[in-house]
Amino acid sequence: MEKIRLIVNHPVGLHARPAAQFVKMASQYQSNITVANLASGGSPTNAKSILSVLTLGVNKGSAIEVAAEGPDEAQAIAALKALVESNFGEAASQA
Amino acid sequence: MRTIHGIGASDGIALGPAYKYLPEMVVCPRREVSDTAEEERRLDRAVRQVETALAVLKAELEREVGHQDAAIFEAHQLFLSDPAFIGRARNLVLEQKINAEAAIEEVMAELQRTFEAMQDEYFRERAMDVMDVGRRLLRELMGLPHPSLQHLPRPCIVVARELTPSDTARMDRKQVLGFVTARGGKTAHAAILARSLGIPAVVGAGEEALDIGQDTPLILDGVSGMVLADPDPDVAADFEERRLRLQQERHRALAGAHSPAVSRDGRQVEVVANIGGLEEARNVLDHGGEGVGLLRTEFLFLDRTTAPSEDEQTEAYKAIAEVLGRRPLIIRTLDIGGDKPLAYLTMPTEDNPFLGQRGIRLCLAEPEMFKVQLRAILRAALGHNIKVMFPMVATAEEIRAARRLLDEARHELSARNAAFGDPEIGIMVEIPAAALAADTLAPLVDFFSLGTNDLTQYTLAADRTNSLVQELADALHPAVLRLIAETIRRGHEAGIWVGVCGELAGDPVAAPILLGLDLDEFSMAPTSIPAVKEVIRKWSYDDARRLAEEVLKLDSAGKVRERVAAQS
Repeated sequence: MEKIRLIVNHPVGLHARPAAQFVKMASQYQSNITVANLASGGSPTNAKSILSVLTLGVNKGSAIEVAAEGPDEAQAIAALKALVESNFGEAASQA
Repeated sequence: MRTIHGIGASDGIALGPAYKYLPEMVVCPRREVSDTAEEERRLDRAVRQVETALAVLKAELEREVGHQDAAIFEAHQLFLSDPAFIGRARNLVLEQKINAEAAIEEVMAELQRTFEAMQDEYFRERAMDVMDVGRRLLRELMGLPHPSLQHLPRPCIVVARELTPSDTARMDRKQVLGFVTARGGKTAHAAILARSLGIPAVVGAGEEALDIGQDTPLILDGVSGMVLADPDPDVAADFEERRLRLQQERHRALAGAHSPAVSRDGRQVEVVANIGGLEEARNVLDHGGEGVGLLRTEFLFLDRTTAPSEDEQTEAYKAIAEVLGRRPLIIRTLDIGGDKPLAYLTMPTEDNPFLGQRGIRLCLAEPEMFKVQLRAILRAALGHNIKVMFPMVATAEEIRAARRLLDEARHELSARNAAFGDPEIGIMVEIPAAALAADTLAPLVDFFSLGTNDLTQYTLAADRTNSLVQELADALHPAVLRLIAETIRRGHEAGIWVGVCGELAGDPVAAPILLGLDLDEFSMAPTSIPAVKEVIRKWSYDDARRLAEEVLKLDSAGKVRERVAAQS
């Protein structure tokens, strides 16, 4: 199993478009992938479910933990890390 | 004959058959199935069909408004492949051996409970998205058409639980004679739109309005808020006569709408319009508006995933100014709060958003976003008669802070050699504190505009969106009128002009009072302009002043109405 902690810096947090991108990316991998909101101390939830990700309530500046288990777990973690760290493909937040 | 009482939201009388519009209701039978594999196939087919339909909708929206806004549908599409939604429904079909419709309904109910428990407006809206997708699936499974008010078979009165902005935006305006909603107040989106289109409407009529049968003959009185179902023939004849008389009055007023509003003794006031976008700007001139006293800029900010850019805003403001020519355009800076969250701004949940960080408070807390709007307004003001107005001001310090940011915006534009104009600066007076201390605020601005909707709800402590206390939130209450009188007097003492841009300005009953209080500018829904101009022409300033003095001493809004009616 691969695990990583990331900070979500996008102004909307893990909602709206960033949430959709996150779920789409996770869905491309075979591994089981979960995401947990460390700020609220909630339990890990299915990263391939938009409804589960939205209900995590991850706001701007919150830390999340992403975990993947399966044949492509390393690639999945690397891809999701790149997505979050690139601020979901947008330039640095300019609200 | 049956009478239902609601709130009159848009003047006028309509007679016609009921058209029931209940898109939220899809009744589907629950049944046991023996062939669960076939049920799974039905579910998959429906999912694919809805996927295609959403892709088409998204493509249409992309063409109309651009990629960013269409991205809202991405989440809709993801719901369709969500294990917590479709996956869960599939399991229910297999485990409980029930039909796909019943499974979807059950998951929708579960999700609704989850989202509603989250007590956050954002999630309640997402719950609406999920329900929307769920209902699409149910209709697909049951072979029902997707409902809309876009094509109505004949002239009718729409009866609905509530109407969403997309319902009213796409409404068949040629066929809708009026509408009745069970929920909502006078300032609900649909009510505002009805007034700007001149369609009679009754809102907040309660659940019993939904008992009205399809095609039942109705009479709707948008003034009193009364709805009559199955009216007796003599009653119907009576209302038809009143409807025709009102229509004639309206035509006569419209004919005189393009001349100025001058009282019998020669005092002229400015009559301008409140608008929320370019389309309505065109409506202003048709109705004799002499400019725009309030442009709500929220239309640029809502329902999107990123903030509008400086260029986009500049173009939008310029386009509206072009329609108006040399006439004034007052641009109100962004006026939102926790009740209308923006996807791209983190707003903490507030227990009481109407007393929370909204209007200028939010803008001062988000100076970078605010300055984008200020730079856009400054740029658009070059060569146009544009003024800028700050909402929800309570203190002098807020005005100073906003002016400092305006100065910064000017410097930033100068630094990159961008040309800009020099707009007048005003504030909305809509918090009692601002009205009471108007003399201390007046030296800091060029004008005041009284926002009577909020001023009323804050003065009487009555939420204007709550139909239970709607009657209390009456802007004609003498307590509110006294605050208005004080604001006008203090403004004039400091040498600045004062307007009203709340609903009160468009109320023909209030017009002589406001004239008598020496108001300079009346700003209202475009369709109210002809009638208000006519009222002002009937009065002399002297009579109006005596009337105003008298009504300020009364003890209820009802008595104020009676007093005005006695002299009209």
